[in-house]
Amino acid sequence: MTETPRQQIEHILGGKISPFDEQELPGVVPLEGSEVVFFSETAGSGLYEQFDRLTEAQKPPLMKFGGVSTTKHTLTLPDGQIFHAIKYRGDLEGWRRQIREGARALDVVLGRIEQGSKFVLSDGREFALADCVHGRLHTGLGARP
Amino acid sequence: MPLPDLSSALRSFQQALDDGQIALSPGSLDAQLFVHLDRPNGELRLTYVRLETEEQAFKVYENGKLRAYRADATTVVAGRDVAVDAKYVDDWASSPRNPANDRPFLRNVDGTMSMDQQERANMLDQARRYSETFDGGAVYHTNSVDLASAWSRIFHDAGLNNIRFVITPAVKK
Repeated sequence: MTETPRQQIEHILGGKISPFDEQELPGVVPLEGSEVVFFSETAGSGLYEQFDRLTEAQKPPLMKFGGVSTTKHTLTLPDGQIFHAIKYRGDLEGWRRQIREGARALDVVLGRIEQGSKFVLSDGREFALADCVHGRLHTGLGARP
Repeated sequence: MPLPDLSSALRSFQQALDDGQIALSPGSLDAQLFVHLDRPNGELRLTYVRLETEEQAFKVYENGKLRAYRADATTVVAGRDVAVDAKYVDDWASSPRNPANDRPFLRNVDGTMSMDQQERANMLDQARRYSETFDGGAVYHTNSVDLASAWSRIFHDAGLNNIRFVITPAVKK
């Protein structure tokens, strides 16, 4: 029987393609060579615009190699504040500092998942993940970075 | 008056869009809102649709600068992000992506890269960015076994071991 393109990809990559609803919130399960950080949403700005500002506020860049990507994952606090997950690879320490300095300059709150169950924010707040809502960001074709 | 059920119309619209039978233009005020114009039975009809993209923004640190790019789509396989792209070929023999090609009329007299060479350099650069940024690397759909074979070797030689090909037959519209 001929494999569908989806089955081919799964066969080649040795794993199942996960639809969004089956995807784990990034950062819950640590992955070697990459890290996830969440940043607080700025009202009135699109994801890509905020992503641009956050990653480019610190000049010159502090990382020496690697990349950072947006995701479609959001986490909403019990008070309704929304955070977006981004993921970086390569010079992890450099990216970590780049994003931290950018957030500091822009007054953006960062969050990380610790021990798979806590959401710890840069402003000192801490939440049980179970009290937050994992959501999906819907991006339109016109939402250019 | 009951509202009409638009679901079947939307399904046929989606099918026509997937089949490449209709063209859409983005709105100038809301770029997520697209419009299709046609004239069934001579009457002007404007169909509006809001579309979501699978595109994903990413940035790579290259040559001392942070540069912005977009992946056509991404997926998650075994917990890892994978960029998904397509490289379709009409005629491998004349394709600029064919490493055997360096057509004399496209060569630059000043010694800089020819168009063929530039195209191949771009493809290699793109794969390198995917490889650096996405922990699951990238999957390229292609209709060409020749392209998949040649570029698997090129990527491997460049140390890009997380770039894979899926042969997907091209359908002429």
